[in-house]
Amino acid sequence: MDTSMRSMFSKVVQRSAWVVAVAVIGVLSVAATAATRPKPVLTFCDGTCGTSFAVSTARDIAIRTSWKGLTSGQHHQKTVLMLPDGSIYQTFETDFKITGKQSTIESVLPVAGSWIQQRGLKGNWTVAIYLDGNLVEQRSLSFTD
Amino acid sequence: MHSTSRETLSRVVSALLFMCLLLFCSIAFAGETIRVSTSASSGADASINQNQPAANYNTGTLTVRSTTAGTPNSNYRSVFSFDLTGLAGSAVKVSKVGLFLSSAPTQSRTLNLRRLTEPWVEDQVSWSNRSTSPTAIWTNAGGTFSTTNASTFSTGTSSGVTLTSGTIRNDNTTNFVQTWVDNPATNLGFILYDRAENSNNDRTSLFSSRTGANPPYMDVTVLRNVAVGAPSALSPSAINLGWSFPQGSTSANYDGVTISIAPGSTAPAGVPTDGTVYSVGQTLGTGSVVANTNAFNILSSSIENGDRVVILPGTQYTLSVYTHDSVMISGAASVNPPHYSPGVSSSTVTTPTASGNLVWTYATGAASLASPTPSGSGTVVTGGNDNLLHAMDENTGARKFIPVSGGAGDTVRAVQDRVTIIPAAYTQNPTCRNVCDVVYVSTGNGTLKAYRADTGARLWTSGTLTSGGGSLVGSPAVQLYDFSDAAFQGTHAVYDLIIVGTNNQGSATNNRVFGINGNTGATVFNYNQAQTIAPGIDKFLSAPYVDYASNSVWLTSYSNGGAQPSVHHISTLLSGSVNTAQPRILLSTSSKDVAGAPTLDFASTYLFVLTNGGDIVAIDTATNTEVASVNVGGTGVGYPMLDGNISANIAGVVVSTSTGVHKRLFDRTARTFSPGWDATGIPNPSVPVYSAYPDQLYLYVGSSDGNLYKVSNADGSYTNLPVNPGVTLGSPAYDEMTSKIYVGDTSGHIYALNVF
Repeated sequence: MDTSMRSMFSKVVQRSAWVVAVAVIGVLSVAATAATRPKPVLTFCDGTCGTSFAVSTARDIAIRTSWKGLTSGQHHQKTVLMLPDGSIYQTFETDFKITGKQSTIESVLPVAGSWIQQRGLKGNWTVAIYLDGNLVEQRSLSFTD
Repeated sequence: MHSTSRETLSRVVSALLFMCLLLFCSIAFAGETIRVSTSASSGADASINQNQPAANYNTGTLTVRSTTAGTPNSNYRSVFSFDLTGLAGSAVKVSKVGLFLSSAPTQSRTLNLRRLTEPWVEDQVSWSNRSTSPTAIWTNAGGTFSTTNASTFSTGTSSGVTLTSGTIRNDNTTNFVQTWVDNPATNLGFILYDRAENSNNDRTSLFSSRTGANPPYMDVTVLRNVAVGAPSALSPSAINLGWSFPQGSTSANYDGVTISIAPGSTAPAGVPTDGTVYSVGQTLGTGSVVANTNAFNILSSSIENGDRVVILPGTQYTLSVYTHDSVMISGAASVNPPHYSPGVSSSTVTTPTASGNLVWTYATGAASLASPTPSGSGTVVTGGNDNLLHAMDENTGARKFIPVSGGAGDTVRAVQDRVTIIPAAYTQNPTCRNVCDVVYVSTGNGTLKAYRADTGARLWTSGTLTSGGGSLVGSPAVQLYDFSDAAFQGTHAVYDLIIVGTNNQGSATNNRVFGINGNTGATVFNYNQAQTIAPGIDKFLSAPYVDYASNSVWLTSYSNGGAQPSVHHISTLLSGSVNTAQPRILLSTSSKDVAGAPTLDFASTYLFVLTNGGDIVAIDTATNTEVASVNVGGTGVGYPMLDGNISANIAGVVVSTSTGVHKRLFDRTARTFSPGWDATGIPNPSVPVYSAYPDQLYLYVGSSDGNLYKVSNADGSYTNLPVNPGVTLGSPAYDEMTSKIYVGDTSGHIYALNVF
């Protein structure tokens, strides 16, 4: 037999099976994670609550995130407000501790006199809520004339 | 639940659990597992026989045999090697050897797989000799090999099956397969022999050789490098780099790349440590991490100067790129991901010194529309909605310090107005006087903060000045001790006075004005502390204006729907709790809310304010009375700018509203406004800023179409400079010392532009 070194490579055939395996594990893992990270109830209020506000009349919008069924202990919430083009307008970060069954986090988004009103940053915004580093809720928030 | 349903559910759950277990076994590899097989034209193998020590057996099957003491010295061993040169440049994480057992022993045997340490020639090797031409004997007859196992095989008693070794990672030396890949001359192959030779009679295992069907193979789990493209300079402060993942790989193998950079022509050295996630800005070997992608379909990255990355104009850079995965690799030195490839270097790239008018850019983490503040001593400072304070070198955009958020225990929160910088020569702050400039910042959490402009170190934080979760929005105003008269100096010995109004939540009548000691952050006075000044004070959103001549400060506020005064004139000689009203003005205009700051004329005779309804209002500062107003249309944006070059009797007042930029002329004697010009067509203009004093030939204005506009102060005609199409530009700052304009935008970028 010849000892000359010439290579012969073949990819492991079962890679496609592993892709399926990883995908299924991913689904199972997401399902398990979702079970431990309930979605919050997200509301936007400026006197009255809604999802669309006029920049000419809105004063400050309270972004309320109500949690139920969270595991007790310390948590970290990050609220990210994105402009219609996807740029990040502002972030709010809050550490909170669950001792009872529910908790509400409120962040105030100034509108009157802010860049939103002064520079006409209108359109469909996105509000994304992250709990302990994971995206758990995403909703639209509109600013109109 | 019906019992049948419960049973069905139970079966489903059991099946899922079983599948999980199977799948966990299946996902024991990430990276790429590449099979390297021997063949008639690749690799080498042979058997050696203790009883025929000079005989060579390089055809037929590979034999491993144990004999008994009754037939001593008749053991067989097999040697074999694989050509791994095709894996050059890969990072080996784990390996396994597969052998096809064509004939099993009658009783299961354990076979040792070890690394040979002396070279051999396939068609010459024997029990005694490594080769015969020239003659070379084994140091240890029967093969010289490592003293510890690379792995073992358990043969079982079934023929016609493939046996797979355990994980080959090391044999108590190093990751020797990696060494074989990196230096093929060290790849001397394996030896396979019975763990208990001479203990049983004729326990023989026959394996397929490389010339037969099912030849020996090696499964090597590796991470290969990307093919990296040539980097290109996108701007003086940004580089683009593209890559392609190894041919044939998929998202099951790689989930992204980590990129490091170093200035100069030498690529950053060092390999990321498996199991460690690197963040942007982190040191990696001789470089700094500038990108860490997280998807297989991301094939390029724009690397920008900013908070964590330093890309400077006119500078040469070289990059290194490492692929990574996100899945555990059982048996690897680091089971946990990510695992990294060895890295590949890019070619060098040199950024331009400028691109048109663009000198540099700096990326922050969120919208930044406040006017950046040049310090006058080489630094530009700004905040933004990313809750951080940013400091940039005025010439290159290099960060002066890692962005600060106020230190442990508190945060800056959003900074939505320009920061105030007091030069070292003028500040009374004992740490910074004649040493460092001081930055005063109004923060979204209701505190006022002072920082060193050179290091970012915090000098002090005031108490929380707001209530109900309120914020401080407007820039702090500073009355400097050095520039003030004896009355002030007698009251405030020896410190600068910082003045700020609150933006309290929950009420339109509960706001206050604070005077703060610039040395310590302690409260000097608290105007409307008891909230008894009827009819109350609505929120302040802008910077006060200090009148040194009268030791007073002007503030503008909202009006609670027109019910309350929105212009306030407060003495700066106050102290303690002040609950009696200072002069204030209820405007006569239909719109009384004022979001922008007031502007005092050069003689301190008239104060000009811009209401949210687009009214320019002139106020007599001696009598604290409104004397004239004119409506220019649209929603007022920010504060008035004054043109002092018209005549002694005429002041030009320029404002922005949602309909454009407008100039009106104010007759100081007649106390009337007359038309100037209207620059319409600039979408959502920012507060204008004048070009160099005293000429004031132009005004610069940001817009919502990504252009910076240059407006003639004479007639309102304008030209534009595209900066970042499609985004909203903030209020520019004009730096007379460097002839640069600094401006931010909603994408979080800060730009330095040569004046045009």
